[in-house]
Amino acid sequence: MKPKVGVFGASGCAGCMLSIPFLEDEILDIIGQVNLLSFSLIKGRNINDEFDLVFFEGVICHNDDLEVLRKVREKTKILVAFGSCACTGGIPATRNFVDESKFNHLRHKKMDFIADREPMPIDHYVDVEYHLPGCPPSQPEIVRFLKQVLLGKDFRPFDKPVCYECKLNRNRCLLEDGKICFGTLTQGGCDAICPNGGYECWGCRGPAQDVNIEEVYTLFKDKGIPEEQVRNRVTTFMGMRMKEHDKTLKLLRQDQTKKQETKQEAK
Amino acid sequence: MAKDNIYVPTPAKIIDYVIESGDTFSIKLDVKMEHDPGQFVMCSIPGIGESAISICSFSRDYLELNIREVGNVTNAISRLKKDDSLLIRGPYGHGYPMDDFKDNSIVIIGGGSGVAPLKGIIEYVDTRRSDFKYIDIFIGYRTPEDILFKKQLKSWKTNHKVHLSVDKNPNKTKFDGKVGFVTELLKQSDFDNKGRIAVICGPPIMIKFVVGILKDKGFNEDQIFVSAERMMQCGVGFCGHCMINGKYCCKDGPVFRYDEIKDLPEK
Amino acid sequence: MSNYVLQKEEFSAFFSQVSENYDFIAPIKGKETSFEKVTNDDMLNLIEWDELPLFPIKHFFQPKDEPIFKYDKTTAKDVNSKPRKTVLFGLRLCDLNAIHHRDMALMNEDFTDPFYKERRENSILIGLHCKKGDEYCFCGDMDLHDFFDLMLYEHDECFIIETKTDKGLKFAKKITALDRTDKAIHANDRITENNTRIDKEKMNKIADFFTSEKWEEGSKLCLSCTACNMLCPSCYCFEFTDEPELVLLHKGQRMRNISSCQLKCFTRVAGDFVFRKEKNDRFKHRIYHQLQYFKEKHGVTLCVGCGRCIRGCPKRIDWVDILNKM
Repeated sequence: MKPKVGVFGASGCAGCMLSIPFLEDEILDIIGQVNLLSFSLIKGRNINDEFDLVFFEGVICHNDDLEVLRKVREKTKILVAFGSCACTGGIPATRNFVDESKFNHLRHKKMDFIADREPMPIDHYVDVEYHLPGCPPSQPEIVRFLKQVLLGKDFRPFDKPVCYECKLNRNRCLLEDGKICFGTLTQGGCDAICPNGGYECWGCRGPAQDVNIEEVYTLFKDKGIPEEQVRNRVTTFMGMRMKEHDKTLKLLRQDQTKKQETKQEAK
Repeated sequence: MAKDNIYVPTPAKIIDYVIESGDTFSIKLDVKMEHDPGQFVMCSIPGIGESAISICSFSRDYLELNIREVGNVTNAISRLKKDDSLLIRGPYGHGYPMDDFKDNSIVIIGGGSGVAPLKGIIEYVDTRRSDFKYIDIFIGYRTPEDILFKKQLKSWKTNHKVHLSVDKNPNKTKFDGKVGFVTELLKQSDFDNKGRIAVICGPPIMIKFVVGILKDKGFNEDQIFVSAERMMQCGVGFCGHCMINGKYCCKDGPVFRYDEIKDLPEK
Repeated sequence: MSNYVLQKEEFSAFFSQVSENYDFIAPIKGKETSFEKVTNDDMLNLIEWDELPLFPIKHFFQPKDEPIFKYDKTTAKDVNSKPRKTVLFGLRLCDLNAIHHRDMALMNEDFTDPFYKERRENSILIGLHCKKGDEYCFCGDMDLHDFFDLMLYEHDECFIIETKTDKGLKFAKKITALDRTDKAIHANDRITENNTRIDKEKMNKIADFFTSEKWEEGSKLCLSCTACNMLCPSCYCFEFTDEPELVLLHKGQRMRNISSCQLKCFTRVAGDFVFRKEKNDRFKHRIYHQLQYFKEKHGVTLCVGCGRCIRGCPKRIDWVDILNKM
């Protein structure tokens, strides 16, 4: 029996979902191997059934997201947090580290029927079997993951940092050029795709297994880069995941979720 | 390719499959392989990976492996059935130097799945009983449900002195042994080091206590043999994962004379 | 054995003669210097003659994602790989000795790594004498041996070439750009400046410092980036992974990649137990493997003193300095 597969999303850019049809050399084979019940991005008729495997993209930042997520979770055997937003909160979760006054004017004033929440990775609300991080997820890793799931193997996240693959590819270390590269902090498995092109690693895949954040701050400080700037960049992708490693990372709890909920109840 | 690729395994058919306890099972393989008790083979399940498994039998006609389901490879092996095949290569490592044990009495002390390689010694002794004097067997398990080799236990009891213990008996199961640590049974028993060899296999903490008790009974360090466990990838002393300080567990071990490794900080 | 001479202006001819039968790999300047295959004359201008390339030749002997065998359900079959004949040009004495140490590690009386052996047999090692060390290297302290097929010593207009092995001599005879010479290699030619910095006495007593807290000074700075392992010419640890095919999942290949002992996953066994949990233990393991454990087995230190692990470390963790202060 082919596994029943679904691809769903909460708030996000759909870029991660798109990386599946963009697996140009493998997509036809994948479609042959699974029973793709629901993937509204590329399919017209989608069936909401029980799923063996669901790729879930995006961040949870309002109540509708949460509802979708909880419904999917109930019907799914293997739920995969798919992409940076689902795994680490991604770029939307940067908001959790910024004072509300700085972005309040950007809100859609006329859309206050949207019950706004602090953007959170999906495993904040439900149990998740696997994480496939990345902005977007690494395509070879998606294929590797699928093969292992089809074989009934427990998929293990890539256990080496980005620097490992970057050195295998014989790239010049971007830290030597004074760039804020997070290769040392970040979980590899992407084949160091950004440093290969001379572009510094922003940490979209979340923290590696062995992280030494204090020494990363001193490293950049010694190169004359202000700590504030480095910390802002840490929050860009992996703030929510770096909290346990980095005591200096201040998460601004704004209680807005609560406020919104009471608002709705009042209505 | 004109070369001997030492990493290529050969197929081995499962001719018997016995469930020993909740998470442990034994398989008998149709392989004629000359080996010492205490050596191991590398078992592969294609697509899943490779794992080092100690040989728990002593026969020129077949190979028996006792396996606990703890990881990807062992879980995959447990899903196989009689007449299925897997891939093996070996035997590797230094087993117990049985020739040196000749004309001695042997004290065998095992805990949990550590009993498996010791079963090989018992079977070796049984094939040439007159070469050895007394055999004392001390084996401990967590609960009566975890007791391995129940079938063989009967014949061990008729031929040798068996002391069996379980740490606790929560289900009040009937079994032929005592409740308590195996180290207690060892302490109470009455023998000295004269013409005796002790072999220990089990969790590191048990090995530590047992060595202490044996030393109290007058055993010299070169009369004690212990087994070590490490991560192994190649089995032939190249890949480095199994290093215990300077010793390769796979090539110099897995059986060490205690005085060879007692000074290693990582033992 | 006889010496040869290669005029500098003949170098291009030398290259074209060699590349008729061999792949030619040399240290090529780029964003970072590394050993790459030279495919045309223009690349010869990019050869690094003076400074030690940051990336060692390791990837030639231990490539990324190297197939070990093919499998199909429950059969395993050797892969058909036939390495091309290759000239490894411009190796410094440290690189050459690292290959020597790799020979000891991967080809012994019990087992031989078949892939390494084939590559070694099909490669010719041409050294280039290193005149001046950099601030991190210490090969002068490490008892390096003359280990090469051919070795180039630079003179004003030419290179004097020393041959060491029959393989090297046979190769030199075939290349007409190389001429026999009576010129000898002088003691002066063999000198490398500024290449000592490790306290040899301390290095030989390293076993006594295992429990020293001073190692923490280095390990607390460590970012676990694995650069030291990846840049080390002699580190050889590896790991296997299975790569199934997508359509026929029962078919696939077992692949080999370089491992890093600086990570927890290096000693992780089933059930998520890690033997070297502490960063300090992992930090020490690399240094002790290099300076003590390998020596216990093979009589020489695995380390060749190239200093790449310090030069390439983002934090420049100078374990030599820490050892000297013990």
